[in-house]
Amino acid sequence: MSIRDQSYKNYEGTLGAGSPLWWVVATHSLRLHWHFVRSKLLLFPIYFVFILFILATFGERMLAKTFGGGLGADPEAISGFYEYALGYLQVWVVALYFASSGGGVVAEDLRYRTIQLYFSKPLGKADYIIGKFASLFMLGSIVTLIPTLLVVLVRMLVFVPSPSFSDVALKLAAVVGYDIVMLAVMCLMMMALSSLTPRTGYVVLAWAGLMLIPSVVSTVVGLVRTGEEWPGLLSVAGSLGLGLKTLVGYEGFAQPGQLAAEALPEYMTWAPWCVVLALAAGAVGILYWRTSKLEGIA
Amino acid sequence: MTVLFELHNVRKSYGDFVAIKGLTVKVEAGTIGLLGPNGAGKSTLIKTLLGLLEFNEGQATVLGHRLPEGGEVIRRQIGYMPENDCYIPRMTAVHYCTYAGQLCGMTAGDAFQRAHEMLHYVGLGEARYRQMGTFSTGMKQRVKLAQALVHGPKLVFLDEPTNGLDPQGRDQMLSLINDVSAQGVSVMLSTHILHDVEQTCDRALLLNRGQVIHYGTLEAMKDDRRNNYEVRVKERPEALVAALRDRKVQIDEDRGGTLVVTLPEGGEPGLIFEAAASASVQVRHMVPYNLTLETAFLNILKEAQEAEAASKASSAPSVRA
Repeated sequence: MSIRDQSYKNYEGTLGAGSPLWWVVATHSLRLHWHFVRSKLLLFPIYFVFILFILATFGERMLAKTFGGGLGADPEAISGFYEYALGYLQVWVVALYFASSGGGVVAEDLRYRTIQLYFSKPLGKADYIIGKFASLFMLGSIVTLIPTLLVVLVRMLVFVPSPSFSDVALKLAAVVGYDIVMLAVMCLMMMALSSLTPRTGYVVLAWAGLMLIPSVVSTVVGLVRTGEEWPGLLSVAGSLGLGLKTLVGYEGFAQPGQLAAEALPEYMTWAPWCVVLALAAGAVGILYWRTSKLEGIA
Repeated sequence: MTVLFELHNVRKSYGDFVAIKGLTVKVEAGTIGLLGPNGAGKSTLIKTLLGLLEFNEGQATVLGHRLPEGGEVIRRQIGYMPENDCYIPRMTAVHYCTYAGQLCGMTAGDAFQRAHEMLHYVGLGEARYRQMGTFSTGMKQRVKLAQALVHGPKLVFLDEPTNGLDPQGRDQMLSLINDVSAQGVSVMLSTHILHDVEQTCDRALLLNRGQVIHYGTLEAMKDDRRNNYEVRVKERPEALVAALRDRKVQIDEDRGGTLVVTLPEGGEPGLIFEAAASASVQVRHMVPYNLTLETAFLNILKEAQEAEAASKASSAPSVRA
């Protein structure tokens, strides 16, 4: 019984002329993440927060002009606290967004066995992993890098006539650089968790546990050890936050009457980056272990 | 005739379990049925030919490219339709096929256009923008075929393509396979349904415990047993069985009083009448046994298993008193 009105025709085009395979994986995976309604709905509250940051820039500038302020001799100098807040907020934005839409990045391929189909094509493991990483990175960029760049643009324009413009520009560049590193580490961590189970629900639970439990612990320890910052190193968000401080400077965190130099933390300033690096290395290790276990895949 | 693949003493094991035991075969272009019981090594063979599994020993060439070096080039020229469901339910059919095409190296535009063509071809034109989670089993099977064909492969591996289909769906799928094959695409059909093989294939490759037990045309498979006769007697078939066994004649089956008699090489049908006369039984029915593919398959399998058991018995160390 025929269900067709014409015979099969072979494809006459050239194979191998298309985009690099990692890019193919990235774009199609992004499309799947973006397919969720929640991916789009979450943009409203997230972008609202960034709009508040833009408004805060104008507010800060208005207050500085009206009442004077800032640090030292320059009444318009900036403390770096704004940039810290902008960067630190994004750890939680990414955590929330990935929990909502990114948990299935590898888990869904395992659950629905699409992984065996993909690897029956001329796709290598490296292309697959880089593609999946890129898809998460692009997804995360929608809620971090893109709005951050908007905030940066507005803040730079606002500070153009100010003598502290170069300082603002440097600090904002640090935030953008931090965003890229933070996003890359978070992507690796989410991919590692997602590769461990075919159940997206478990991935989200593990992700929430990884982000929240150490943060609670570090907050409790921080409350006990008043005035010490090292407990932040116990959590992902805390380590990233402390790492961000090394980039934007410690001036904004000095107590009233305390000099900037006295605001330096009690731990080695490179320690947060060591924790971040260890997290990234652990995630890469898990991914390597999981992919090497995939039998029958190129 | 173009050689699809050539294996020489290929061996693949998973730990202690040997899935493929020194496979040597040369398969030419056409439509080939890949048959064998569960655990025979069919899936391992397909994965090996796709370059997804590295074999432990031997040499293999697929579509003129050596494995494992040529794995990616080979996979670009092969289409694979897996047995089980492998789609993300929220994907649309056209997204699925476009993705498959792009993974084979097609440009996004070409893949998108070709995905539409293939979905029309398999009869899913109307459903191409529907999410695949809403598809029936038949539609899922057809969309899997569409993604296997989207990049215009020279060879397609179809793993149980009619699984779960109703008779109408099965006919439609077999019709598609026949049409694809008629357009010069080689097809390797792995299935347990021998009727499907008879409908579509010109040759069959039989595997058992990781070894080739038969490779050839379907006719040759049946011809192996041409000296068989189906015999029915009025009464006392056991007397005829005993008389035939005295004459070194093999009785293969006794199904509800019908005997399937295999004459020795050079044996004439008169031998059966002679045995019947000596046993004083009346032959009511005797015709050359019309071997179905299923029976031929089972016979070949049985012979292979018996030969393996005999070889094991002869190689076992003898017990000394």
